[in-house]
Amino acid sequence: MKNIIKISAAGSGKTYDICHDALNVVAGGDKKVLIVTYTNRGEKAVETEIRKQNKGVLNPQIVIKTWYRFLLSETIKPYQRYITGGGSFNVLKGIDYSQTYGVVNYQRKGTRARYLTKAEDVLSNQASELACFLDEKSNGKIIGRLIEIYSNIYFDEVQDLAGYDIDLLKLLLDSDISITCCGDNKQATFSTHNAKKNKNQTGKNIWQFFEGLSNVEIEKNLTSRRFNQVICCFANMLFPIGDPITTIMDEETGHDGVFLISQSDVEAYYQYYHPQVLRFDAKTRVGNYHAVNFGACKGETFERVLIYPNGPLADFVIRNKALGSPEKYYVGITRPKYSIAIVLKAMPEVLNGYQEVALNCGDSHIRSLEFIVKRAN
Amino acid sequence: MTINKLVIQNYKLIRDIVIPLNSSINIFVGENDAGKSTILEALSVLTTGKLNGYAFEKQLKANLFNSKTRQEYVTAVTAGQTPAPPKIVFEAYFDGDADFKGSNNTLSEDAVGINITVKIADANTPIYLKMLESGDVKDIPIELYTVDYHYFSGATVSFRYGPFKSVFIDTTRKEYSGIVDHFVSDSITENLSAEQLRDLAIAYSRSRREFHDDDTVKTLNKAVKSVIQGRSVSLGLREDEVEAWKKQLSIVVDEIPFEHLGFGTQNTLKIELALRNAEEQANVVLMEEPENNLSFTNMAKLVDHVSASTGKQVFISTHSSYIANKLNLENVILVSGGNVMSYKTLPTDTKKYFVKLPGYDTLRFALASKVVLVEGPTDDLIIQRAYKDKYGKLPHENGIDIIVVDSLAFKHYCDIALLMGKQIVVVTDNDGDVEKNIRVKYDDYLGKKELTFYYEENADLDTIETSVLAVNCERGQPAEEFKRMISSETRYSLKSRDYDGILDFMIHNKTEWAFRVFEAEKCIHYPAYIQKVVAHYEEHH
Repeated sequence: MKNIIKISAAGSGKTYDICHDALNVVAGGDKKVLIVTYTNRGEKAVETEIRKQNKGVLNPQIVIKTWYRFLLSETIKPYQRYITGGGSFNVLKGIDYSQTYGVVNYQRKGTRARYLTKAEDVLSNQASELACFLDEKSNGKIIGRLIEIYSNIYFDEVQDLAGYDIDLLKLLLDSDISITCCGDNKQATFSTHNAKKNKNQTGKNIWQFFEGLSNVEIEKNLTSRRFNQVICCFANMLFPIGDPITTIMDEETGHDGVFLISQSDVEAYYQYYHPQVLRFDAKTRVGNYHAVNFGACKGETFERVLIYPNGPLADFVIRNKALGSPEKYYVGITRPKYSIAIVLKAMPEVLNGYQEVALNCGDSHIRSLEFIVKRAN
Repeated sequence: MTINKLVIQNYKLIRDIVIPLNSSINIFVGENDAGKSTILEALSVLTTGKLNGYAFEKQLKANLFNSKTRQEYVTAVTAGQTPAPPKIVFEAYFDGDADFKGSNNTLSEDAVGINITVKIADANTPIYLKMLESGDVKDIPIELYTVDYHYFSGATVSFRYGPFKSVFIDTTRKEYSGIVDHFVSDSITENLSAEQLRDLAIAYSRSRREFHDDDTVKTLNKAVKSVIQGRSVSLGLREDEVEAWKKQLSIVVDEIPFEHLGFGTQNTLKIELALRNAEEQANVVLMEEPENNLSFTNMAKLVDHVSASTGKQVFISTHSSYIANKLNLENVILVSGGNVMSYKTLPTDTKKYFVKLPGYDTLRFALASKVVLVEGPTDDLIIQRAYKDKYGKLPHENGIDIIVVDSLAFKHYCDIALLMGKQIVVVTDNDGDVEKNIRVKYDDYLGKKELTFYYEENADLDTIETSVLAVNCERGQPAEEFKRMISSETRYSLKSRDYDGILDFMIHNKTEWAFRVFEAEKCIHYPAYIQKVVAHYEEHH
């Protein structure tokens, strides 16, 4: 058993490493390997990576599940009778996500009503707590079963785990299964649920929790392979807390870096460069372009992005005002390989740290302010 | 992966049962309607999701439920009560993949297994309540039922990718010309492994490709090409569906097509295919009464195949004591009245005794509904005749089997009877000492409700000869009529003999005198204990 915690920079090839490692493990063992991702998109990204490394197909010994599918099928369902009671079993159906974020559950711990809806679904906010409860009630059967099936479990995006998720993770770290946790403390965008418990171990702070454990080995990989030097500097500036990241990506395309452009030039820019449009959330208007929210594109790579900033991001760019919670923005700006274009309603004449350039858009040139890398970085 | 335990609830002849299973061979032995087929059906549903070759959930009927369960429910509902609608449950507990592990089973065990429950669909419970209210529930409301397939982990069962591949060898299946193709493809393909099927399919498509590469076809295609100008035209085989090759397949045995073979040979072939090369093919083999349609030689072959097969779990229901005995009594599971008993649970010396017995006797005892154990053929013949004198029929016509057993083995038979809950009658000699030879010897057995002992209570009458002779005397000497009866048919050979002379003859011609009594036109008098044996079956008349 060997537990590894990997703190990685965005684009450092976490998914590649996980899949590479998993394929190596199953090639040398009979047991299965489980990869738990946070989002559905993350699950797809892992599948795609496995196929890439495994001649186009998946491997039956590598099981890929999202966090909630993992909780439901591998922890709660097998030993549900310890909560459903009265000799009933096989009654739980799925996860109920309808609970609003932040609602407090006043039902007593260990009672059915705390964890389950009337329709026999598991409340999403209580799922990991129920898993911990069932494991305790069944005398460790949940963890015991996982030990029988899996030699290794990989958790991607651990920075998003919260509350009882951490307790469950701790049970696994203490088991015979080799656990690998990967994450980027700068990308803690959503928690699996809203929990008071273990608050100081959630998100940015989960690393302190790991550092306090004796049975884990912490590896840091702060070198990205995804984006160029300019984007890397821009990201460090946007998220100044913690270790700065570096990059080894040195491909050039002739349009590389971070650029501010006027809203009136977007169409010309878009037609020529075909960037992926990103935004903070659905409240930001993006015209007729298909846009993806920052939080939803975690783990993905684009060639170029075009960002419609919300108020805080525009304030950061124009007035150099620090962002209160930079995590989601950080996810967005660390997606592209070559360029970021940020759309401004009104372009300033001059801006400290930026220089004026004319961008080639095929038939025409548009005015832009290009972010300049300071020597110190 | 082998099934080590089976749970069946409320299905057909079985009300609620837990059957421990052997990891290699399981032989279900029992009378008709004892529940043997019920068990095989449950195994078929558990391993394939199918019953008689069709999806189980498509065949739900109220009469699948145990008749007693059904009756109780109907009675309660009719009386205005609200009993829980009955469920049929099948569970297989097996060794293997922890993926299927959990405690979602009726025994609350942390185990690997499959649970199949036939119950009212959750979505239909409001309809059920409405039906109850309006008094529309007259029977199990099967139209509201559904079948739930889950592993003990709570995950839904996929039979296609499940842990078992089972084959049901039903030698009673007769197929006719119209469906011969289907029969051939089924019989063969269901017994091949996925890899073998794939290789066959690849070979088939290769041979199709080769058709295009054939010189004749090529030449022809060149000719065709030039016919229509400006367009490329060529001859080709019609695109096939993936399974099409199966329709083209036939099995030829010694140059005779499979469908033209005798039914017995077809069966042997099917069985051979099913049992060959264990690992990749079916890991569970179900055989219903394989002795049907098989000659004795084929049956012997079958037995050899089964006992030689490794890596698979075989379930056989049989009436044939030959099969059961040859495949080792250890593997026999006795089925009667929806209950099971394993031979394994017998005391060791009893087990040893039965394993040594030749084929027929072993299971004759287990299978007979009413058994009288006697010490010798004399007792057998006299009891038979006494029975006939009273009821006008021989005992076997009423299902009573009189079995002659060495008196040393009585205890072994008693052990089995107790294990099976089988009612038996034991007729034994007192050998001159009732206390020693009956009361002390059978101390552990006397007074058990399954066992009834009959014996001569007068210690002076130590054998059946003395007892019979005693009641056929007049003034201390054998009655003339009795003497004539036990004399040879042609002449009154024993005319001059007195009591001692007659007794001497009887003792030295045990079977002969009894046979003469059995064949005689007139009746003799019977000792009281013989009359009691006969009267024991009074209730049947």
